[in-house]
Amino acid sequence: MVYTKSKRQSPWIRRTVQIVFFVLIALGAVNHTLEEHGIVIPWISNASLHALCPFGGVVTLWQFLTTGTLVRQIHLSAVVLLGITGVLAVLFGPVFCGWICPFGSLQEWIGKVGKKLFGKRYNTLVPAKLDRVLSYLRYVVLGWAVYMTTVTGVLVFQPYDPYYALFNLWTGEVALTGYIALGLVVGLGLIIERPFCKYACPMGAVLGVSNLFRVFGIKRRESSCINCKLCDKACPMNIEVSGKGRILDHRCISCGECTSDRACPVIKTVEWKLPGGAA
Amino acid sequence: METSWRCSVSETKKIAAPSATMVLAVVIPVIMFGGIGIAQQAGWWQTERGTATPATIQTGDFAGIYDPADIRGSSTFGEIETYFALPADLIAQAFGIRTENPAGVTAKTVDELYGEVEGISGQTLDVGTDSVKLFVARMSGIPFEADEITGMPESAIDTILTLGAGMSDEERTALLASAVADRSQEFEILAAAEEEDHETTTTTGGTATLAWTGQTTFGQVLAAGLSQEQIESVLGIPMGGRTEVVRTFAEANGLSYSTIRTEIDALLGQQ
Repeated sequence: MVYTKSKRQSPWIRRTVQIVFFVLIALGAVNHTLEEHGIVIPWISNASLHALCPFGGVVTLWQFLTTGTLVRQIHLSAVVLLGITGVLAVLFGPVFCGWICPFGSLQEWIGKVGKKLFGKRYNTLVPAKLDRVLSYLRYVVLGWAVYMTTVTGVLVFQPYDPYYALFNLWTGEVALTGYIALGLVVGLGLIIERPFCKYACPMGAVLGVSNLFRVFGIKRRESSCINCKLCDKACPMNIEVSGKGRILDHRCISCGECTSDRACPVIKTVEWKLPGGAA
Repeated sequence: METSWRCSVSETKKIAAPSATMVLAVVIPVIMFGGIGIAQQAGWWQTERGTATPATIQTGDFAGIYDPADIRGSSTFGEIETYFALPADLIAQAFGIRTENPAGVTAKTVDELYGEVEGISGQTLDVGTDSVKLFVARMSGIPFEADEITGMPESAIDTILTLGAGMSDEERTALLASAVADRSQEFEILAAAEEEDHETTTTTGGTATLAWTGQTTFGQVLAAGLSQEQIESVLGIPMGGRTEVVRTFAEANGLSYSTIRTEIDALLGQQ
């Protein structure tokens, strides 16, 4: 069979965006602590992590819409970030997860170590069926966090949030459960790709829904597919891309690793549907 | 001559469309930072606190009244004065805090000064933001259920018993049981702040002293002796609310915080 080979894009394009956002958030978190000691890193935000996480916007949304106030510790900037993330999700799906979220990036980088350590056994520990069922746990976490926060006015997820723990390691504000959650994610990240994103992230659950209606989605062209399944292997969220047409799976994080830009060896076979024919 | 300016078809280079990956790498940061920029211009990019205004009680006899339970660690005594009509210096006095600027003291400061202390019955109590909430509630007669480990300095209990809005026997018993063992704690907050925070600058004005921190509010600038007109002459735009943090306001409106600070200092120095 004759096919035109795709031009593989450098992994550093997405990685650079991830690094930029990771560094910005990490420096912001450090700056927030330094500010309490009268030192501020210029040009870097010194806002608290709650101010820079769109999930704060999710848990406070009901209170914000009904009373005009915000849940304690949450800032209006979190609602703004939720809005921006929402716009991105409507356009491209959960690109926040695949390109921006520093905790998703960290898990991805830990996964690189895991791949080196475990080779082909990496990310195959959880059977596909169980993996699919467990991925719905995110919605349980989301429902619990939103309901309990709305009812109690307390950020109930914070003590278990490994993302909060990561960027507050040095502040003494992290609950023991937060340290345990972070340790678990880091440990599991060596054998499972993005374990927190897959099974527990409530923000990922919210954004995952956008895969059903995003404007520019990922689509596989069956006519030119050579069924090599490299797209399946490339997907960090264990989606069987090779068995689908348009990717509507709620687990997709819009990282684009499966596309003809990256894993797919055939040009214009797994691609983003963008206007103007750019793919 | 004219033909030398023409290109043949074979010489024309086809410009390749950018890859989707590259498009996303540009579009995502543009939308993210562009969105934040728009929010800043609109004044929505508030990262200091959710809102200075406490939530109101939603149901019952006290519906519509500000809820002491929504006082935050970052709430200043000045803000509490605004919303609960309790003088900031009275709150500071009740918690044994001596300062020239009681309106600028935050509820979190109480936690930093006291923290975990021994109660009169030997139990461990926590004196902090919840103690401020309890104080405000008992002074104003608004319902509030404190945690069992919430402690109160004796001076605060005395103030409530003398000037408070009255309470049930059960609440009185609980309040008395929350007394801390050390009966004479007093804190000189400015001295401690100056010792710890070398970045804090103090400006002496004609009528008051302004200690700049990242949390300085317009109310504090007004209290230092400047008029609203003077502040607005520095800002070039209408001033934010009394409880709004100057720094946040400056950032949200694209103004230079350090310039504002310097010019306000200059105005205070001229008085």
